[in-house]
Order: sequence, then structure tokens, then C-alpha cells
Amino acid sequence: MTVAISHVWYWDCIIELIMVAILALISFHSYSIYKIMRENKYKWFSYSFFAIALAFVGRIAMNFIIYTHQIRRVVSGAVIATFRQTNASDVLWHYGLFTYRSLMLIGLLGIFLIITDSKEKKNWILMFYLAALTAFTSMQIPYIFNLSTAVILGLIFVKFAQNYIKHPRRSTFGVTAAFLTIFFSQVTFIFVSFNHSLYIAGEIIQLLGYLLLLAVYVAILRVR
Amino acid sequence: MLVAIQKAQGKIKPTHLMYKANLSHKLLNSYLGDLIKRDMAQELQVDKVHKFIILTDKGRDFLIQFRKIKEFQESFGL
Repeated sequence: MTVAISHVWYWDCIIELIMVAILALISFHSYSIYKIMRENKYKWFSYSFFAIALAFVGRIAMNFIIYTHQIRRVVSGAVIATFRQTNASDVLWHYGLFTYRSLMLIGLLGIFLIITDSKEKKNWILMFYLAALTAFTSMQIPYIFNLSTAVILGLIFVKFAQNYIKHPRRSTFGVTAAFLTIFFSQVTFIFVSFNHSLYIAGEIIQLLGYLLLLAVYVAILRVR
Repeated sequence: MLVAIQKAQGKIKPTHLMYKANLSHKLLNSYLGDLIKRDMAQELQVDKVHKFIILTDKGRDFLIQFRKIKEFQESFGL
């Protein structure tokens, strides 16, 4: 019988649902711009945000398995039935975790490749291969995922910071600050294995980052 | 051109538009024809001599959309 380690905290599902909504809004907005401008970068930018949104949807579904599914039951007659149920949900949990990590890495790498104007198909293929490899490796060494996402987010932050220097305004500052905050959340998650309460801190910092993105999005909508 | 018309409170003389938009007479007529065809601007003949270019609601909406796209583009460095 396997035991999935979970954090006894249900708020991460609600927080992640908010993040899904924010990512979906930005994704749809970028796609609507693609329909007008017909420039592929807006389409791929939309897909990247959508991939991250899907990653969080998968994670919410995964967390439900941990929070709602009874893993251990001390009833002698039902032991065999419980073992089978646990086995199925454990497989689902592992596939879900791999999918979440792959989609997250692909989404973030997509954003990075688009904002750095990388048009070479080879770069995209290489990056996505590395994303899948990292997601697979992180199944054994979990902090590898958080370390990789932190590195990608750090590079994204640097690019947005350069953009802010070029166009110093509130919206560019907002985007830069948002990705810096999300970067810090991933750095926090790296140390969760040493102190489980850092998971809550990481989730809150991550939410703050996405709320900053939402503020930028709302400001864009209000442009007259 | 649309911005120039909007800055002139939505109504501008063709010659003023030519100077504000920094266009030649030929180009002005070409682009203006396009805008009128797309219902973003229209001509208003006041009398036999005076003519104005008016910004339509569609032209105003297009400007708002364009500014939002530009803001999104600059915010995310696209």
C-alpha cells in the first residue's frame, strides 16, 4: 500500500482555481489579439498561458484525490478493496503530477521563447524535450522541478525587467513585479521538504504574483 | 489619421488632417478612402466649399481596441 504525502490544507485548491481564472483570461485576450493581428506570437503566447492554466487544473484534480480519498482504512474485511482503490488513485496521482509539471514547464518555456523572440524551431524542440525530461526526473527528486521553474521564471523576469527599462510605465512594472513574485514562490517551494509550512507561504506568494498579473490585465482592459 | 481626427474633437478639415498626419495629398486621399470604406470615418459637406472629416463610432471603437492591443504588446514586451 502506498501513502501519498499531502499537506493538510485545502485552500491551495481555491488559490489555484483563482490562478487558473487569471491565466485563462490572459490566454483568451492574447488569442483575441491574434485573431485581429494574425501574428503567430500572440497565438503561442496564448497557448503558453493556457498550458500553465491546464497544469493548475490538473493539480487541483490531483489534490482532490489526496484530500477526498481515504488512503488508510482499519477494517479487516475491507482491506483488500481499499488496497485496490489506493493503487488506482496512486497511479492517477503520479500521472497527474507528471502532466502538471510537464505542462507548467512547457508553458513557462513557451513564454520565455516568445518574449526572447526565438523563431528557430530547433530551440523549441530542444526546450520541450528538456521540459519533459525535467518533469520525468523530478518524479524522483521533487525539488528539481521547482529549481527548473525558478530558473525559467528568473530568465523571464530579466527579460521583462529589460522591457520595463525600455518602456518604463505601470503596466510593464506590474508584469515584471508579477513574475519576480512568482519566481520567489518557486524558490520557496524548493525548501518545502525541509519545512512543510513553507508550502503555504509559497502558495500565498504565488497567488500574489498572479494577482499582480490580474491587476495589469484589468489596467489594459480599462485603456480608452 | 484616426488619432489626429480624435484629437481635433472628432471633426477636422482635410487640409488640417494632411498636416497633422504628415501625409501627402495623394496618400491622404488613398487612406481616407480606405477609412470611409470601412466606416471608420465619414465626410461631412457643410456647404459647397467646406468639408470636414468626422470620426465615426466604429472608428472610435477601433482606436480603443488598437490602444488596448498596443498596451498588451508593450506590457508583455511582444
